[in-house]
Amino acid sequence: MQVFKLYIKLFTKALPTIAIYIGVFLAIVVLSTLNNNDTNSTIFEESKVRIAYINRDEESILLQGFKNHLGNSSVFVDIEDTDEGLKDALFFRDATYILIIPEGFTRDFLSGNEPILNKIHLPDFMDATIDLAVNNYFNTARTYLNHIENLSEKEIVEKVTRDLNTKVEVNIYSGKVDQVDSSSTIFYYDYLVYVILSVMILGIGSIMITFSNLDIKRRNLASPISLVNYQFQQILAYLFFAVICLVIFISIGLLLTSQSLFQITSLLLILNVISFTTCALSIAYLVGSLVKSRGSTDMIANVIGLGMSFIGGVFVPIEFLGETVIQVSKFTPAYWYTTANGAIANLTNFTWNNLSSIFSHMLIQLGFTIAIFAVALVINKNKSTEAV
Amino acid sequence: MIQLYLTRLKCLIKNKENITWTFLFPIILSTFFYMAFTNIYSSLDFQSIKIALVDDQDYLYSKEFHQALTTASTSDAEDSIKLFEVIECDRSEAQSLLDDNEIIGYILQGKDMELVVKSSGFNQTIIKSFLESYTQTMSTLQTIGVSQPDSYPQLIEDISNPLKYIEDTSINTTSSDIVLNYYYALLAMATLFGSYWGLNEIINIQSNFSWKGARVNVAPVSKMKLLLCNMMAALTVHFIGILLLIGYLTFVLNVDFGNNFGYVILTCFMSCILGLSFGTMVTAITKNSENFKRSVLSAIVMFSCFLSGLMVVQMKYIVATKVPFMQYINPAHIITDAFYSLYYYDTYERFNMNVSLMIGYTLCFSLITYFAIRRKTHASL
Amino acid sequence: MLVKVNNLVKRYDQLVAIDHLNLEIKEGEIFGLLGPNGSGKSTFINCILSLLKYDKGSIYIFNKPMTPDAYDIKRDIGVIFQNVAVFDELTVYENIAYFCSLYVKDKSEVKRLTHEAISFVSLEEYIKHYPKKLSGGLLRRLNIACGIAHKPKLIILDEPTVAVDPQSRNKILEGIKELNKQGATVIYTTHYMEEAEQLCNRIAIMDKGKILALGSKEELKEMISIGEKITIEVFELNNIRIQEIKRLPNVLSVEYQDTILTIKSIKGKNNLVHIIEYLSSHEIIFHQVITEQPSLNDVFLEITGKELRD
Repeated sequence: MQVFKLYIKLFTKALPTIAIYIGVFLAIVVLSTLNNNDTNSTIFEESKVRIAYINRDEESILLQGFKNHLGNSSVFVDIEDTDEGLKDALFFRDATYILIIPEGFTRDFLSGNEPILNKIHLPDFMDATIDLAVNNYFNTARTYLNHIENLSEKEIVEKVTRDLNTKVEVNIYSGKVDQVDSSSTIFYYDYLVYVILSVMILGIGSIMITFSNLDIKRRNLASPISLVNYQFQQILAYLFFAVICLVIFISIGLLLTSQSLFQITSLLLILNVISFTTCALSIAYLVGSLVKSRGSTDMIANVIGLGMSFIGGVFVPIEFLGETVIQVSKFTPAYWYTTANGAIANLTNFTWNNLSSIFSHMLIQLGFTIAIFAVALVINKNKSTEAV
Repeated sequence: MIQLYLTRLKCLIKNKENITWTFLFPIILSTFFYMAFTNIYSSLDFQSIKIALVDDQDYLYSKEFHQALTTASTSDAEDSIKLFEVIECDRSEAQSLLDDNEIIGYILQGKDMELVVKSSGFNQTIIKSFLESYTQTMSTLQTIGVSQPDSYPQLIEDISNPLKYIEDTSINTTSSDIVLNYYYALLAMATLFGSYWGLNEIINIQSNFSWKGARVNVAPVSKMKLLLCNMMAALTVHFIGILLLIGYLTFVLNVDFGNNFGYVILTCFMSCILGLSFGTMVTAITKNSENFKRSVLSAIVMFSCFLSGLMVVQMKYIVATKVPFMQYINPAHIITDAFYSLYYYDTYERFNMNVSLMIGYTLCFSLITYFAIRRKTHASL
Repeated sequence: MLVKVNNLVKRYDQLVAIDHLNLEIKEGEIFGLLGPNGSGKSTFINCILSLLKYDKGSIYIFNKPMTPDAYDIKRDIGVIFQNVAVFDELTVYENIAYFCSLYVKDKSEVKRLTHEAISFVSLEEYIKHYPKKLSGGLLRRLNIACGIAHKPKLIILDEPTVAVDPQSRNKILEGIKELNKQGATVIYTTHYMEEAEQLCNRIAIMDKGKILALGSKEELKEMISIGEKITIEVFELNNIRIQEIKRLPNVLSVEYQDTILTIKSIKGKNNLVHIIEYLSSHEIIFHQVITEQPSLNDVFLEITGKELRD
């Protein structure tokens, strides 16, 4: 096990470097997860839109009620009512939605006309909810105005507000598996794609670059250790590195999310992340076998880490990818990993029907691992007898 | 001077593996971005949401509700996709459908509607909004119906033809605003990776890191002069790489950089210098091995890009709202901001500020590098 | 025969690096492979070690065919390459111990051998140093220690003294002699003639992938026509005189440059006497007189028609 020991020693010596990588990539993922926890609260509390509410009309009762109504789904920010002010507000994301009430709106509305509000906004999925709230309020008000005579402005507002406050009760039914909502856990595990790929390629790459020194390679090849044995010990050492990384990632996941280790879903997630790590390891091994300089390793780690995260359903959810892109995505292990994570998140019972698809996704990832390793080993084999 | 510059340029270009990867990596990545974002705003792939409606004979308006559910569609057009695909069944059946992920959720109807789902998400929000809107309307109908029963037909007419009370007056009609920031952040990353060029130049010139450095140190040429020539050569190569990227982004991927292309190129150039000088500074002031220096550089660049929205675009806005001073410190943020302000504003105030910041930081980094290198030469004598 | 090479051919695309090469190396000798840069020495070494595939021919070591997986053969070979091949991340001790452990299974044995190797190259003071902190000469010694710690029967050194200061070079050469005394057979490639002359029992002169001459240094010198080289300091000499000297018995060639007269003659008695007599009889004043045996450089010059490049 001399070679194994050598690699472990090399890893220990490269510890500061590797620690920096693990640190920064974990920081990125942890911050993203925390951010996700903030914005997508679990119990159906839609995230609130930051609205700049600019009233160029009088402070009428109607508009007072309207502002209160809007307050249910948004946060108000104060901005300057000038062209520059409006633009700056959007630029800095102080507000993502600017609502302008034109002069004379209340008077027009109450006299039966159909005045229009203006909005300036940044495209966001939440826009629709604000539009809906605005239209609901004034449509309901209009209905009362048209059909019940002699209602005062105040009475209309009261009735509208009562109607619009009717809420629908939403139960998050979590079945028999676990009581905790798993969305942040899944988010974290999905994002691990980026960390694992980057850390594996950069960490293993920085070790393997040592062997790009031709004479060191020759010295090893001239020794009575077979290539197979050598590579076996080498890969074993990389596995050891991978296991340590995984332990770190999984424990941070446990700290970060309210997930318990001893649940079947957790175990499935861990099993899935192990499958993915073997893939990342094989990719790192292939890259390390091919690349000759540290600079290139950095670039490749970036391309693979970020690239796979973007088209593999990490930074951009699979549902948002186009049909063709998904077809491409299927050629990356990240796709199978994230879809398996998604399936695990939605598990409520452990019927074979549900589990088998998850396991098949893990098997596909292992298939990637074997294929990529095979390619790398063939390349190494050819390199060992030629081009010395 | 020129000879030194040309020689160095030749050296850099000869390193094919390095050149290929530094030139190709942002181009490949931008292609991935393009793939990931092409579809993001189109709802072409919208599929009806599968829900179950639990039978309840006691609910007075059961029939009407069912009708409302099944006729709701994504737009007013005749052939538009239906919002929901409804299965009617009893509660236990609905429950087992939900367990097997056959449906997104099921509805318990009644005066107070109840929705049962497994997790929160986009589809779930749609169901909820629909139900709320429905019950609110029902509430209005009842209130009016009690006091003015005869106005009913007109009432239904009014309700089924809601008016639009809001109009979009957005200045920029392109909706790809958020996607743009991803490309800008990528561009920031690519330019900041110029710091590796800076690292190489310093390593090359410092005697304690390489034999070549030692040779350089004994040559009768001022080290600063030589470093300057080498940096110019590195900058040339780096800038060419970025121009290729810009070309690819504009002409192949059709990324919008606003109207003033000259300023876009200027921004690229400034950020190339910024990246280069940043790399030299980090290399000059850190100790340890080349590997370590590299990882420090990678880490700073990646994190800086993360904060400016390369991975999660919201990060940029969170930084801007929660830790506003960061946007004046973080190089990637300054660069992304410069591109974005070119695209967004008609005036150049914001842009000028960003470029001034870049120049300021470049000068600052270069000065630190200068003193660090000078000190080291003296120390080793 | 310890090493036997038959009809070896190695091509790189168009270029023939090894051209039908035959060679036998006897047990216990120090065998020198002398040739200019690019003559095919390193390629030949890489072929012997099965690091390179070759196109034709066979290689036997310890009477067994050498293949990439002939581990029992590899176990008894020690290799030292031209460039220092050690791990920057490991200390002197760790480096030697690692390479030794690739050959020797037993842990305590590795320890013992490592310490022996360290004292053999006198690196005791630097056990815990990292290679980066070592001077060039020390680094070379470490490089050698890594190759010989496992006490190989056959040691192959590929230009181990390139760019080494004279002091370290002498230490290295003495070390090699010592190893040879302890029973190791040595193959030594170099393009320094003095080294080969000083060290080797037998020398092969190689150029363009072929062995041009082979033998002990004495035998090699026998092969060429020059028997003696005489240098004389003469202040004035005209062309007529030079021509006359040329016609003296046994003289092969005469050269006069910057007051130095160089005469090469074939082997024979009284060569010097004839020349001195001629000079005195013509009242030519001369100072220093040196007579030399021909060097390997002369041999090489005559055989290949070119100087050994440094």
